[in-house]
Amino acid sequence: MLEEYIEKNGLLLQQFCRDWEDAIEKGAAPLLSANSIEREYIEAIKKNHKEIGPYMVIAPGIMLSHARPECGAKKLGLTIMTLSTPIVFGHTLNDPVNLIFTLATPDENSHLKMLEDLMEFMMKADLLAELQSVKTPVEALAIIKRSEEK
Amino acid sequence: MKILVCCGSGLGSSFMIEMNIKKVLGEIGVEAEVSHSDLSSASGIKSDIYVGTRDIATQLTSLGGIVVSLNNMIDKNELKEKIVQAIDQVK
Repeated sequence: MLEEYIEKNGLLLQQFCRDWEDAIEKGAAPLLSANSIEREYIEAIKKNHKEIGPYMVIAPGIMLSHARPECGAKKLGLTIMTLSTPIVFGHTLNDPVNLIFTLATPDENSHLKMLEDLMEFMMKADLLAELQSVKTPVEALAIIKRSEEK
Repeated sequence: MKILVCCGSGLGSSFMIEMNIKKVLGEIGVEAEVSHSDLSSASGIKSDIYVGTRDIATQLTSLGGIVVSLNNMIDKNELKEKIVQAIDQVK
């Protein structure tokens, strides 16, 4: 169940972000507040993006923002953020991004079930499109729960 | 046959692609050992096929296996088409 993993205040909808760095910051903010990550974790995500490239933009419009456990992840956590204005991350094909999943895992295994659930959700294009249109966490949660029914 | 999926950190997208590859292999009835790693560890893991998203795949070409480059990680049709093609090349 994907919703079990969502951090408190972790459904961020129609957020305005200035640029990709701001988007990474905003997506990770609830994880920082909940003490699931250290500040350095956010810096590690930005560093990976700068050094390795926009590989975290995994599909058209979608970014999976994350770094390794040893970069300051303390607990398992997930946030889901939709953007009011799409942001360019520098990906040749999948830009611009309007949906960001930020995840943290304290080790190499704790998050595997979460990723399976997330993958199930991401493969339902109609639900992702609906998620883009809603403005409140209650509506977003209802969409996420529906992804588990089918 | 060994298939290694790589991503920048070795625990996010690579695992998700691995899950989908296993589903595809089941569908087409091919047996292979599928695992995932981060980019820097990939060179130490000898494989027949290396899979990565576009930006990662360009860095896998020197490893001596067939490289599969994915544009859209959640597009199962793209994955299936490219994996089937790579498996044919290995055979």
